Amino acid sequence: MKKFKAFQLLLTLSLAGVLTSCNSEIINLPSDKDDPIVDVSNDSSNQVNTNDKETVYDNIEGSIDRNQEQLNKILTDLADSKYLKDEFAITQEEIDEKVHEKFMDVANESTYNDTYSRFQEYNYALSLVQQGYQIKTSDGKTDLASLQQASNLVLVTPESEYEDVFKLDYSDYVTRNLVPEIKRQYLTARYLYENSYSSIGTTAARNITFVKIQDRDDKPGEASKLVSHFVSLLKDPSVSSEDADLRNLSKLWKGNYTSEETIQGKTYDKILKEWNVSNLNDQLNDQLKKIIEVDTDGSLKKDDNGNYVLKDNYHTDKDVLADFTNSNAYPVEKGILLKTQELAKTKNYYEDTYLNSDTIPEISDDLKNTIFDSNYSTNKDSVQAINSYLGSHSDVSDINKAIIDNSYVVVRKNADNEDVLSRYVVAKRSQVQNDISNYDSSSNSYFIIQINTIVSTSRLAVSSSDSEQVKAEKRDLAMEAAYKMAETDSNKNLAITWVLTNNDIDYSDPDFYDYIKANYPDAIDD
Amino acid sequence: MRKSLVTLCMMSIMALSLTSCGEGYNYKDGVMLTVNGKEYTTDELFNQFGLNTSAGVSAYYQAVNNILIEANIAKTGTMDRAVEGNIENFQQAAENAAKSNGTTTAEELEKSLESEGVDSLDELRNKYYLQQKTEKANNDFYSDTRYNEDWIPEYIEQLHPYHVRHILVNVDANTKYNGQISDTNAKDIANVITRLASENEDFGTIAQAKSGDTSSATWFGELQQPMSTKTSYVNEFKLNLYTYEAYFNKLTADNSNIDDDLLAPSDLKVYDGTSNTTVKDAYEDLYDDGVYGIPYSAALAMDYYSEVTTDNNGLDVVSNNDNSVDYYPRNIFFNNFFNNHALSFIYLDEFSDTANNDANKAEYYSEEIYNQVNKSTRWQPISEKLNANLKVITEDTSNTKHTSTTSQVASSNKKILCDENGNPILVARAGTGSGDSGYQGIHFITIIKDPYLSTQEELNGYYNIDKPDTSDANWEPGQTFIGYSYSSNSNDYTTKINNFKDGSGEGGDSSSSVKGQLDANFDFRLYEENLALAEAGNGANNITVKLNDDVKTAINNYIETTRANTLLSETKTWNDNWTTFYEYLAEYEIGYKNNVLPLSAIQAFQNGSSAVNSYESQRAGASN
Repeated sequence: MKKFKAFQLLLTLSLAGVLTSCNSEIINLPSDKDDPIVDVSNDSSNQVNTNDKETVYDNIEGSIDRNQEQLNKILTDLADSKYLKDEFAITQEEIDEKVHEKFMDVANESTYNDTYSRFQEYNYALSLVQQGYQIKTSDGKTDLASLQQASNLVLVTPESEYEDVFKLDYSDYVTRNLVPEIKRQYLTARYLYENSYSSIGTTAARNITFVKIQDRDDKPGEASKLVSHFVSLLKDPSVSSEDADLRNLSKLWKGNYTSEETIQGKTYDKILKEWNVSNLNDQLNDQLKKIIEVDTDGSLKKDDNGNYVLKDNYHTDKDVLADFTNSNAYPVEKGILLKTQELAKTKNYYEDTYLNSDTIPEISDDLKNTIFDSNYSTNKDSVQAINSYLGSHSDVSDINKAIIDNSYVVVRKNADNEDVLSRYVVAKRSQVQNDISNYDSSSNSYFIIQINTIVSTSRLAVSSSDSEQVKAEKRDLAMEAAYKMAETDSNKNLAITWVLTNNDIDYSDPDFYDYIKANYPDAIDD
Repeated sequence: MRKSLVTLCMMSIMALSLTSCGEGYNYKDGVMLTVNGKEYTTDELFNQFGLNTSAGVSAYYQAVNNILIEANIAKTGTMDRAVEGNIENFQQAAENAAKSNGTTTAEELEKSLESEGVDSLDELRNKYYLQQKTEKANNDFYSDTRYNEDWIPEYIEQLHPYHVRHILVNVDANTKYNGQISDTNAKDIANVITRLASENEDFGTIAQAKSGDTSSATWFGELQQPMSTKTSYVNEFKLNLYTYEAYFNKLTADNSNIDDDLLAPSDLKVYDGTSNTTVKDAYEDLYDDGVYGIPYSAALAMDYYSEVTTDNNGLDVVSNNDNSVDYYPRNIFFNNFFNNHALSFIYLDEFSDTANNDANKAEYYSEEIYNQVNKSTRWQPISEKLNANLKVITEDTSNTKHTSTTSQVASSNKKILCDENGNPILVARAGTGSGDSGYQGIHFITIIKDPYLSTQEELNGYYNIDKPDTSDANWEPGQTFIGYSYSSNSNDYTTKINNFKDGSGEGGDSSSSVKGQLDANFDFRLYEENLALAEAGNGANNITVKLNDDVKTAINNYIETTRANTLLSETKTWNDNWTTFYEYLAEYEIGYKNNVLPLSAIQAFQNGSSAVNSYESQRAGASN
């Protein structure tokens, strides 16, 4: 009897022990949680009761999502060790490009701008230092005074490059924050590549470059003139790829070019004069002539102190004056500067990869449909393909230009004298044949759209006859589109579920397990 | 058999405990999960949030701060009673909850302890003691004694507080150059100035009766918080006062500290594309030819013309340019003399002076009136008070377009309007909104206590926050900031003290207080003091605390960076204020010439529509 009772007791205690170790409320804290934070001496009366690292860890727990952080770490590690290797390895160049994009996104916001819309690099750097990142000057200094001294204060325009804007060393922030984020996005792209290859093709992704030229309200027709002349230039195969760069059109219209820059050997000023085009910079001057006296040589008049001579109340345009002085809050000189800056910051040149499901900034649905028209045959994507096509078709005689499907293709030379292919979207309706300027009445703007890469199911289909180079090109094309697809939460979640399901995972922390079960239920076997 | 049964049972239990005891996971101490054989430990996870992250260093700062308080502050009997009382209440609450929920006290206690973030009553007791000690630490640090001995003197030294009073005359006018005011506004302006100029009333009495700022009017115009460099008053009020101090106050203009303390920083450039000129220099240039003067007769004119809205024949005046209201005489006087956002002073012009060349001047300003007013001691010689000449807006007679320019006032024998204590009255128009609201209107300002005309010791005494003993026969108002005015209600003094200290009084605002302005991160000072005490073992318990270098450095950097961020923000505000103000006045210096109707327009108005239209044509440059 006693023995049986002893047995019962033993059983009960053992079961109790098992149940205790199964307490789902046990939260893992680091092994040194009982260690002291500081050295305390002479505390015989036990005044200090919070001197253990558990207090610190509790505080940290209150300010982070530990499960999300742990999951991110796992994903980044697996991206590095398993999924982004060999042919899927990301080059440093690709990483740098993505990193610089993220930095420029910050610079183009207004969060760190001063009153004059100039980006204050020190303010941004300080915000990162506050988050615990080590930011350095180029010669390794980390003190705040040196950072402030070395940092940049600059007007950021769409033409600004990373090197023009950021002067400090952000490698700690890049390594600890940005690169893992980029790798996780590539991981999702990899998931799509492995598991949803056909869906990549159906995105009909396009990498495009386009310029939007919005006509002047005060002098309608100037945009049309400029675009028409530039189109002639684009259609000319003897024009180099550098001269045919759509950025040139953007600058011609905005007026933010230097006197050294040329197109076909002519300065921008000369070109505009030849084409008789009055651009946005001219518009600014035209506005100013409504409020400032004009000298005999046509320039804006200044007094002996160098201030503009304003027209009197009876001859000025009061609305324009109010616009340039913010209703008399500052002198017109400041208003001119702000307007000039505003013009410089105007974005009218775009280059990006877009999916069929994306909204493309500035572009109407009608024009977007034209871009994503599926009738872009696969056999006209390269110079070789064009030549081959032309060899078997008699409808186009000139070897260097062809209108194929809905695009206008020009083969021209680059600075290295290599053939490069430029492919432009042709307007669905036009008065002239093969018009590559697309007019949108809703924004009173002209668009020239250059298609750089096209994704389609057929383009991505791998054939056994494909050479390694062709396979690699298709892979890169697919991954580029997949990287864009990887921005959505739904794809991210699918990718995470796939990773968790396809790796050997043994959960130990009940809280983390519950987190995975709640957020990625398909990753958990029931 | 039995042995086998026992063994079998034990093995089963062991297997159960080793395998998934919870659904889907195998608990392993210190490990969150294992992926392809690699363990992801809790240690590694938290290492990511160490001292090189904001979450980590902030967590260490909070924890160390609490340790220092525990170490430095002694437990007292009061604390003991409070803590035990709280424990009893806590237990009682659990009992009550058990009864109403049909559970056990133990269960309710466990739940309640968990919600408090503790595991036991002993831990809860420690938590309560920490709360008590923290409260004591704060009370000691922010005691009146500390304020009087440390914080207020530092506030005075760093932020240069001015004790000021003002009278605000609200006006309706809503534009910079051709403001239109009501007849009431005109009369109010006239009334305030003429009363200030007479010896019958003092500044405070007039403020009480006429100021549109009702909260200060209750206190005879006295602003209930000093104005420091961090006070967010409108630029016209604050920066005009600083302009007066730096350039025109004869008593302070030679003080070399004022430029650095009160004016735009010497490295702040005007943003004009070249950035070669500083805001300070450009601003100073605006006053090259003197400071604006308002002739006394203009105030009389405001009253005289307050209700004139028709021509001399009683007919409405119609302007082809639809701006006949601009020609109302009260509006013309307003825009010439009172609608200026720059600093102005009221001076006593002689009846023959041409600053006011209104053709009807003799109707409201005779030699007799001048002589009478001149007797008032409120008028003090400019030469004794100001380091400047006066200028006024007058008609530019070099052209026939009725434009405006500035002319120097022959100031050598002129007097400016002062309060009963001989302090010049500064005048500035603030705001351009319509409606009688807020700060919008004309401010008449005098300085009660100037930080540059007293020693630090005198100022420490003046801003002392001891409550005045109004029952003391030797006490009289005006000796201190707190006791500047008399009140029979001692709560008024308590409110003023609390608002001055930390904004905690009724209607108070911490951003206007000593605590809020002196240091936006004041708690860091408490931490630093506690750290120094604890490192030396000089706290009440003689406990010594030593931080390791990494922790100490990380927390110091965290504090330094937070302070740097605050400084950036404060510097930006200061720079933006000066830049905005300079730009506003710079635009005025150009814009007024074409926009302000000269006084000769009054005659045109009085002569009727045809005269006004002819005047307009001349202004437009048409030959007539």
